[in-house]
Amino acid sequence: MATNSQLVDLAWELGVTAASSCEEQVGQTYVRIKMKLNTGKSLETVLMELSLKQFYDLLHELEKTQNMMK
Amino acid sequence: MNASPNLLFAVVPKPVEQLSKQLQSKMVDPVVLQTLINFSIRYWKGEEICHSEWKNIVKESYFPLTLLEELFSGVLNLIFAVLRIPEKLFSPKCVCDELIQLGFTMEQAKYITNLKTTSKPDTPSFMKLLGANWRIDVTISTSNVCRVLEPWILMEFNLSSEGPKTIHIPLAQFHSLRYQVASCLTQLNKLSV
Repeated sequence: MATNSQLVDLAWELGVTAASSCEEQVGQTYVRIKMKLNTGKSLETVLMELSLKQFYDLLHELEKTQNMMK
Repeated sequence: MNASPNLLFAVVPKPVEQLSKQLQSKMVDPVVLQTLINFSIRYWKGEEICHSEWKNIVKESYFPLTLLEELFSGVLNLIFAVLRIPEKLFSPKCVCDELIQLGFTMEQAKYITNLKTTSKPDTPSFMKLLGANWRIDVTISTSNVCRVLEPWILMEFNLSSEGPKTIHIPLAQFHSLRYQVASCLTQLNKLSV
């Protein structure tokens, strides 16, 4: 696991796809996360989009980590 | 060399005349000539020929530098003339015959003639749009603002050399894009009429 970058800032956005050229995407909820990372040399912005399931999986992992830290 | 070949030159340039004299006197080593031809192709493609490569061929050829430079000039003129022949007028047999008349061997003439089909200049070209997908997203909430309800357009362009590129277009910009596309289509229709 790479351990070089540090999380500086995090922003999120919750939305829904109202229409699309690919029909299966219509009505899907998404969570977009924008992270600002300090690589040591520069600040990098990482943008990712998660489906609802992926977001809940991430939340589950973060909660597990929080419990371990307690 | 008085009679000028028809396809290659209206009037044979002096460097090509000099080259032809040297070829007909069988003074030019085939390996050196091949190297000069390869240098010409690379030059045509925009590649640089480094000083050490040039020094090597001067050493290998045993020619004085001025003579080698004249030979290279002749080969360069010739290669450029072959590659510049328009596709409709290009006849491999005629070009081959003209090269043999100038003093090239059959193999060398065929090699140069084949360059027309195998060599392309390294000209920069734009990427091609292979496909596009779109999505209209409505932002419900963000980390900064509770209720947003703002629509955005997400477009994914599939480009030929780079792969998919995704861009976020605000509504105002999307209307501007629509207007530009419509103007472009109008002009395109006028052209076709």
